[in-house]
Amino acid sequence: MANPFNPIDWLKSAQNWFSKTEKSSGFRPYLIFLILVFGMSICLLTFFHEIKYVPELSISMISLSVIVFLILYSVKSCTDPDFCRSESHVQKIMKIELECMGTEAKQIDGDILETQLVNESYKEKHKLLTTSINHKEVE
Amino acid sequence: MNYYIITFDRKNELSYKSFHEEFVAHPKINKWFHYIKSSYIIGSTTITPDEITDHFIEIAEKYKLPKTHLVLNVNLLDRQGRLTNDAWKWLKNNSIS
Repeated sequence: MANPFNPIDWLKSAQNWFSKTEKSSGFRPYLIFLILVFGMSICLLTFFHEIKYVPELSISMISLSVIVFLILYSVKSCTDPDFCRSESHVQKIMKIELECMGTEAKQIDGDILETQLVNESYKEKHKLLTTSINHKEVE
Repeated sequence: MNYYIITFDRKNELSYKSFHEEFVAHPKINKWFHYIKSSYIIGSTTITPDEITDHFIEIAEKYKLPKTHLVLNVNLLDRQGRLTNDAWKWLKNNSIS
């Protein structure tokens, strides 16, 4: 159980959350980072704008974050297209890539066969008796 | 003809298309049955379990798929389950020969 007063637990929770969300919805952590930077910059501009260099610092933070976000997002979208897709979409794409199934004599598209197996499969009608000498089918 | 079942730890998020094509193309595999996504039944007169394992590992490595698997000799006559008509037909025909 995580202790809310322990900063290491907070760090661990954040790491776990990032590791789970990063794969399929990788833009979310960056988006949250951007929102935090925007929030902080707006607060600085609103409440501390009289202090020297605060407006410049706030604007620099916003522009730098946006530029870095755009670069990272562009690179990531080229190198790992699944990065910004939802888990269900990735699974759908993978489903399309199901191999041909069946036998050496009759091959059938994996998706069609999967549906058939769900809807039309049945137990074998005849129970088989096996002995070491001969094999005989019985009702 | 000897029949072996090869069952493996399949990952749904990975594509097995190329793996499948290469796996069943082994020159010693005469017959194959792949009605369950994480298993194959293969029929051959010459192949050994060692060769099946080596073949499986080689292709799994090539396509970065998990290599965990098990090869067992099977008696097609001793069977039961829930499959489609075509699958039962194959099992019936190949257990006679």
